[in-house]
Amino acid sequence: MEFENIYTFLENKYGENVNKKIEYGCNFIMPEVDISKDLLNDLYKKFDFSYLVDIVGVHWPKRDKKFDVIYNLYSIGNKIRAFVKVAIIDEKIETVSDIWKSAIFLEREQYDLVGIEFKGHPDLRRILLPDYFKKHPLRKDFDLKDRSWFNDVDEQGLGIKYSK
Amino acid sequence: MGLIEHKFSENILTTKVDGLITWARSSSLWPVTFGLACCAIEMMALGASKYDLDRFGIIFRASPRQSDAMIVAGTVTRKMAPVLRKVYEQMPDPKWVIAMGSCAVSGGIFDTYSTVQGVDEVVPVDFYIPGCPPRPEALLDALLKLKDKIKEDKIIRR
Repeated sequence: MEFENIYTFLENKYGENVNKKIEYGCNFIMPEVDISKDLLNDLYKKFDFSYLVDIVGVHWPKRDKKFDVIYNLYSIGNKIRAFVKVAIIDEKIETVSDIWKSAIFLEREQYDLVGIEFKGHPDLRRILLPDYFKKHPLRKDFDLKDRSWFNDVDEQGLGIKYSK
Repeated sequence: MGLIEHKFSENILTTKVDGLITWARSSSLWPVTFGLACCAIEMMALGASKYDLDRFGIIFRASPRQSDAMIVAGTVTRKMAPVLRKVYEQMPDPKWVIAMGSCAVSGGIFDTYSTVQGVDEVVPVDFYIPGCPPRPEALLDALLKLKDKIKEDKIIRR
């Protein structure tokens, strides 16, 4: 099984809704957002992509489709890695946590840092930052030096006041 | 000492309460380990055989209840700050704090949304050690200075 076989199947099934490119020795599949969940399901069921390595969210503030969601998939049986790159207009996309259980944590991380909302996720809340944090720090328009939220919550009732 | 001189047998020494207690405190300084980042590696190097803190009676304790000094070694984040304050408040009096490294002193290079700009926003600090990270000698110097400071303490103030 080669990447070309997989892509031929996807092209026959989804036609113009899917693109591919091979760059830097990496295989990219770029589907439209409407069919991305079906495509990921096919990759899991038909081509043994049982290992979801990572989910990455990217913010593109100057683009029409403001966010990229990139699924890093690996097929242990076929020894093929594929990156599925989905561009979305608003920050909403279907969850894949019903396909890969590991997506529960990975999607929570992207929700926390980039602010992408995964529809149908069983427990979508922050994972790295505290619950009382306001925004999403990996967005390009985030103010890196904004420490105004420090004094918003006194979560352990210790009365600490921050001044800098 | 004139009144009580030569009134006791030979194996009894007379001294001041201040001198005795501060001598005991400064000779068994037990810092609580608060290693948060790379500065902790230098702190551990100081505790290991090359610099050997044990020879000064300085022994790292893993419990704040048994400690009388805290070495904040590393970057203090907003999420960690209440924890640090709690550990400090769990230590019995008297207690001292050393801010080790530029992150603990002033936030250092991390002028960001998550980093506390100096541990003195959270707990009172006795000694600041600049450096990124400071050499073990610098921390050793601060600890020896802290011993001198403890020796100047007055136990009975009023």
